[in-house]
Amino acid sequence: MVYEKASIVYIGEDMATLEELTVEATAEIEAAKPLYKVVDGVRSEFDTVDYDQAITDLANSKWNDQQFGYIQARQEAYGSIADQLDMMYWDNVNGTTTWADHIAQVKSDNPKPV
Amino acid sequence: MGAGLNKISSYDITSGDSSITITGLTSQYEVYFMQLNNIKAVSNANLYMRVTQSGVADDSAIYDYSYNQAFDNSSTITDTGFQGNTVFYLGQNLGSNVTHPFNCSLYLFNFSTDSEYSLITQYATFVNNADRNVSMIGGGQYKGNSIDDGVYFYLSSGNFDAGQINLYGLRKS
Repeated sequence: MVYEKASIVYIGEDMATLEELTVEATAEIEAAKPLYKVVDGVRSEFDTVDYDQAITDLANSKWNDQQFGYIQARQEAYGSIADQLDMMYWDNVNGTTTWADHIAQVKSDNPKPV
Repeated sequence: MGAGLNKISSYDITSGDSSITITGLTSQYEVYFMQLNNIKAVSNANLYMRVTQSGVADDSAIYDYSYNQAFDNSSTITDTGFQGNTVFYLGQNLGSNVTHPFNCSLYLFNFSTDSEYSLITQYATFVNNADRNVSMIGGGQYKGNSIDDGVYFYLSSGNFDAGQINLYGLRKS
């Protein structure tokens, strides 16, 4: 059985609370049962404690994605310091705003949760 | 007995495994080495690891770690750090890439003593779900005053699909 993270887009004030995400996680884990653990090569179905932990972990993962995913996305999208310095240099030479526009676009594309 | 690397255990992942616990770390070896070979997730997911005591994973918020990631299509190297997390973070957005799944080497230090924190270092490479090769280097500490006997792996969502985990003991002298 496979369970997958729901494709949910949270925008601005529509951010989910941890409680709401826990409800989502509970439904997903329930739908995915049975789940299996392996301990030193021995495979068995999750017990109640394992299922509760899986719900907690999935909810926390959703929360982290929602609250902090933008940080990683921005880091990757900004580009290297060298590339940014190059943009700044040519902006200075040409009187353009390429670098500032780029940074603004990255922030806009990857908004910080409200 | 002289210095050497001794294989302790090996596990071939079965598609559908949700969590994998490997124990057997004792004071017999000063350092342990773990290979995660060709790990695949059924769907896009992050790979996490926890420390175990008596085979039970600890989800306390006492995991500190940091890592750098380099991507094949960018000169950007991202650096990330966390304090007081509930997991060690081994990989982000693992896909089910057939030709370049997740491969990682882990060194495990101080697990068998309760007078020092357990530490890990990691070196990993994989193709993520965006089809980008990612090289990753990182490390962390588990701030528990406990004797730790193993590690526990799980994904942020979904199940493992394939792979192999090997545990070795590293004797320095």
